Amino acid sequence: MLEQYAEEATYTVLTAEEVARIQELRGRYPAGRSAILPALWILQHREGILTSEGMRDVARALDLPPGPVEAVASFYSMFFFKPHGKYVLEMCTNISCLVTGAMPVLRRFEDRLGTRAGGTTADGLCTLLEVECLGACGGAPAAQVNHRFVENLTPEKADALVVEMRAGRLPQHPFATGEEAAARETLVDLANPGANRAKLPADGAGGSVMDLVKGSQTLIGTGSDHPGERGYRERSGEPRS
Amino acid sequence: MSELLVPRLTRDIDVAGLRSYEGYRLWGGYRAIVKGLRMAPADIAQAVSDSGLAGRGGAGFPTGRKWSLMPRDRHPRYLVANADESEPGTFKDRYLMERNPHLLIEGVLLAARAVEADQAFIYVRGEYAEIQEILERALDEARAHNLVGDNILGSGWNLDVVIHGGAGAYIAGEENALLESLNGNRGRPRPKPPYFPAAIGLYDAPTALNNVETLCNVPLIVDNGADWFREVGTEKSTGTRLMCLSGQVNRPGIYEVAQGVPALALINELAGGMRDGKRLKCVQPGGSSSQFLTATQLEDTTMDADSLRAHGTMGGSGAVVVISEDQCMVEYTARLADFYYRESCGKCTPCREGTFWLSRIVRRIEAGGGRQEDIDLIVDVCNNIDGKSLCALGEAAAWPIRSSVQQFTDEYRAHVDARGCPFKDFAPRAPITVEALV
Ligand SMILES: Cc1cc2nc3c(=O)[nH]c(=O)nc-3n(C[C@H](O)[C@H](O)[C@H](O)COP(=O)(O)O)c2cc1C
Ligand code: SF4
Ligand code: FES
Repeated sequence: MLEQYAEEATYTVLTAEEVARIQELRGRYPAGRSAILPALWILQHREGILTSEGMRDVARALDLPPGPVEAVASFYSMFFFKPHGKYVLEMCTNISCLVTGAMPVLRRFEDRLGTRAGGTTADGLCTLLEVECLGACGGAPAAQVNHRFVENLTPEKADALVVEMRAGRLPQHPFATGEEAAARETLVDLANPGANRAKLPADGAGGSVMDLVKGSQTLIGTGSDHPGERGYRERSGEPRS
Repeated sequence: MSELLVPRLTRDIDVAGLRSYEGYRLWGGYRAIVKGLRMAPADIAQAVSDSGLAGRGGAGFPTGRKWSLMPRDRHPRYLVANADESEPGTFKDRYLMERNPHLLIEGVLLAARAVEADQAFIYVRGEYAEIQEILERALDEARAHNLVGDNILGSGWNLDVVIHGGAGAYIAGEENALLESLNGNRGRPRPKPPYFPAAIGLYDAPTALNNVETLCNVPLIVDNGADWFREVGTEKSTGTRLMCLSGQVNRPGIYEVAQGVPALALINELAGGMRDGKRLKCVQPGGSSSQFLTATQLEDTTMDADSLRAHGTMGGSGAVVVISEDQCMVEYTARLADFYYRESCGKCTPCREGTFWLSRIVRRIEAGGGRQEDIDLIVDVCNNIDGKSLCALGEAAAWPIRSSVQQFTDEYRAHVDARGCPFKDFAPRAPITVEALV
């Protein structure tokens, strides 16, 4: 039955080649679920971010309900759910980098890019992130630009890197920023899992548990403060539907 | 070349071309698998047991014994290489895979044969995108030479190897969390018992899980014999280790040495001593999870399990982070606490709540809002994580933080008294948040 469902399935985001590639990956594992991470990478590589429609396509290609796919996606720190810059600059400030001067380098990046760590430049060129150990501690302080290492950083090298980036001369391939996907598709409401998948009945009409949770936000709170639940947080106080 | 270096895994590692199949063959590669295919699986496992090889991933469990715990004749069963390397300070697995990827593939083949695995997986952390490409290329070459796949070298033995990329999570390096992640779930640990990977591992089948460096030793053991392996190292800590030297030294990098070398020789001879002629304050000798050793303690420390244990710490992942006298230990520890808080998976209460409070309290002291009682409070929180958490991440947070507070109490007190860092111009900084990533 599931096969039939897969055959009839229509994909809104993934191309036929991508679906075929995901299904080939799925064949490598004893259980299809294992292909969720590689499939999410395929999606993110093309779109820049993981959207609701995109993850639904991944689920379809793997014969899974969308729930597990979103649950997995939201656990890991390398997936994006909101648009970011063409370059993602990830500066390590963990121990080996800290003791060799990562903080002055990070501050220099912030100054030159005009954004704090965690933000994106106004022109959408670069997203600056502070990250954990990248496994480049021998070349500390270290960073990655679009998942390629840059090591032995100094504030002066940080200046030069930003100049090169602005001039479009970095060897690293630009990322898809996710802007296009965001304009077309639905951003995942990580603070409210499930909201993207099924329309909930109007207040009082359905009596689903989700309604109870949503109706008593003061009791249950709007999400844990813990990073283990990192997928289920929202940056701003945007109203939730 | 310093006499301290014993290049086994790292022999010729900087020679261009070693990365290719041809280069690796010239190096002596794939000799061991030819030998291994003629051996009974149990004999390979026996050779590894005899060598005394112990895990290089952190816990140091004897590899042969780990394999022997897998129930006989239960199939399917799996071998998993842990290439998630995310212990802060550690970069040896990346170095090995980047420069000699075929050595890992040969190690995976031999280990899989030893445990009679039906399939093998290499779980590589997501940040190592370049390494994944290098491994994929090496695997394609190995496949083209009939070293991976069906009927390997005409022996009738089949083994498929899959490279699986992670997506950013320190906890996914913990063995059960890694298996959950590979299984297609959120990468959270499972309780042991009953989930010992050897018995109930990947897809609930018997699974052998080993670190990259551990597996890279296996071809050398099969090729040269267990006695050769034991020629270097100490009686109990046999063979070499890739020491990852980082921090305030002149020549940070990977140094392969016999286990049991004096810690100070590592720092002064191999790593070229302290940067800018500064004085050594302390080191973390086994990654971010290990307890600190002060300069005085280091004088009679050797880098082997017994000596490190006697000094109240451990060899862990082989990462030696060297800290000079002008590094504020409260700042350093605050960064450690942030890391564990951020990476705790939140599944069990002592670690979830404990790492949160550790991060808050240490940052509070750093920012100048600390109270004298906070010092005991930190120790108390650590004591309530240690031994009470579901996986070893809890201890990994509690051990170094407790050690820092106990060994550098004066620095903490000075922060409380001075209402901030007395050592440098200080701009308090908000704890890192995870919001930006979402
Ligand atoms: C929080 C945590 C993170 C870990 N990360 C890694 C890792 O990145 N790489 C690794 O090889 N082992 C890691 N380990 C150790 C593994 O659980 C496991 O003991 C090891 O991979 C077994 O291989 P070995 O016996 O060859 O050392 C980690 C353990 C914990 C508790
Ligand atoms: S100790 Fe920490 S990381 Fe391990 S299971 Fe508990 S909460 Fe998760
Ligand atoms: S601590 Fe920065 S790369 Fe390891």
